[in-house]
Amino acid sequence: MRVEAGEWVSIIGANGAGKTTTIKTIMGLVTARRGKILFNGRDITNLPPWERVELGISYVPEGRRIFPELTVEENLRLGAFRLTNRDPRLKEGFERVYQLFPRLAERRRQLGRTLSGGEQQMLALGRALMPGPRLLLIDEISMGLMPLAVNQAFHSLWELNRQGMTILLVEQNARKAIGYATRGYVLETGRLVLAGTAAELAENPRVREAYLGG
Amino acid sequence: MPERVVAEVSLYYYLVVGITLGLYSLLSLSLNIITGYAGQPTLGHAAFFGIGAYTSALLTTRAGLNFWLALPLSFLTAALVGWVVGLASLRVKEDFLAITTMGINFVVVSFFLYSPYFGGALGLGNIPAPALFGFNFDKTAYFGLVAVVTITVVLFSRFLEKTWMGLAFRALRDDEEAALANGIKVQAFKLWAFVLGTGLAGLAGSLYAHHITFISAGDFGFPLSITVLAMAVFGGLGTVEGALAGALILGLAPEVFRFLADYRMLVYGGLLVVMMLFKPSGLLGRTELKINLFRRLPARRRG
Repeated sequence: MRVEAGEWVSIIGANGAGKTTTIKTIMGLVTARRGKILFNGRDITNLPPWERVELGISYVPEGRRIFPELTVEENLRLGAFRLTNRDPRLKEGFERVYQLFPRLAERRRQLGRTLSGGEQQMLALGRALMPGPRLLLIDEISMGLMPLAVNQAFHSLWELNRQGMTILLVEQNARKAIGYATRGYVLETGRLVLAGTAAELAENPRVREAYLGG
Repeated sequence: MPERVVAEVSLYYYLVVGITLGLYSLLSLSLNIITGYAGQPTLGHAAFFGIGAYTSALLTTRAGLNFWLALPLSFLTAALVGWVVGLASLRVKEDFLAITTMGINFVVVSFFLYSPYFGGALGLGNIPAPALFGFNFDKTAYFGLVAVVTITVVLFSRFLEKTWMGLAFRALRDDEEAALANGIKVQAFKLWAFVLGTGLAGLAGSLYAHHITFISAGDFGFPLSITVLAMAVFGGLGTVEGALAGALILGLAPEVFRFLADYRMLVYGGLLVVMMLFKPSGLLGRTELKINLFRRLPARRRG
């Protein structure tokens, strides 16, 4: 599997196909039993997660996983945990996130758990953007969100991708995942069974039948 | 004359109760760092209190060290053992960590009990009261010392809450995996929580040893761990006010309700379960105890 700089690659597949495991392995939350993970040509297979963050990989977990008892601002601060308070990149991070999601700026003193689902998704995405990543790993951005919030979430990702952010998205909502992507992979019970450009996948009869609803 | 004796006895009594409450507060505050701030359940806190007490007792009686040197050394010894136990917390979580720490409590107590160097079943006696520039600490001065240490630990806890380490602890407590995914060195912070919390328990142990002047293994058993945990949970985990309120209320209860003193383990244990069921965040707390066994109980009743 390859993801080029500036691309948006979507991985689709049914429940239990190994999508989340794939993305967690890239983040370092699950150890790879076989194979290698290269980032910018560097072998990161055995690096701990915090070093991967440092290299420019960020992760938006499934179900958002914001810190419910911390404020919006503290959640974001933790996203850039490795930066000291005086680091100018910290201020840039906050500015970048608050510009993308003005709603978070309004609620910066609120506790994470008091946000709506859509706002929590913004927070999870914002938190991942804080360290200024080059690659965003996103797990099920649409999960548990109402359709309007799903559209907003995808729109924010599209905006980020347009500005040059590389995105690797794992998603059950295949229609949206392929619709926005440059390229895609189909994962079935732990194996890559198909790869292609978004257009190729959208035309593929097997994909159409299994994932796009005919 | 008899009146004066009564007055002195009663002042002495109040000082001893005051010192005891101070020691309970120190234990509850130090447990709060591990279980409240960082969310790591531990059922073996008394072990570190004991390690501190024994370190200080041995250093002053056998090695002839000064109390003022023994005090920080008991912090360090307890913290060192706490660091090792912290390593265990990197492998096991929640209920399993609770059981592991409980086991460590029993191991430490047996160690004191069965090794002759530690006085065996007879314990260690003749532990000197501290002296400073030729002034021997009486109970009034000792109460002052315990109060100063307790206030320092309160201020330290407050400070810790505001630092980056405090923030990392809260993230770890809220969602460990999310903290890891955000590039927080979760392992390092767990170890820090254990080192600080167990070290402070060791400090309290040293203060206990020089107050009571005679210690034996039974003083540091599992029941004390449960007592301290009950205090922190009752008062509320994750806040300084909670840790203090729990220590003061549950520490005073056996003094006020003398007739209950014999049943206090029953009361503390029962209280722990009742709090978990009906008010898991305690009186003033910010977080809950992460031992699922307790949390599953109400679910089972409903089902």
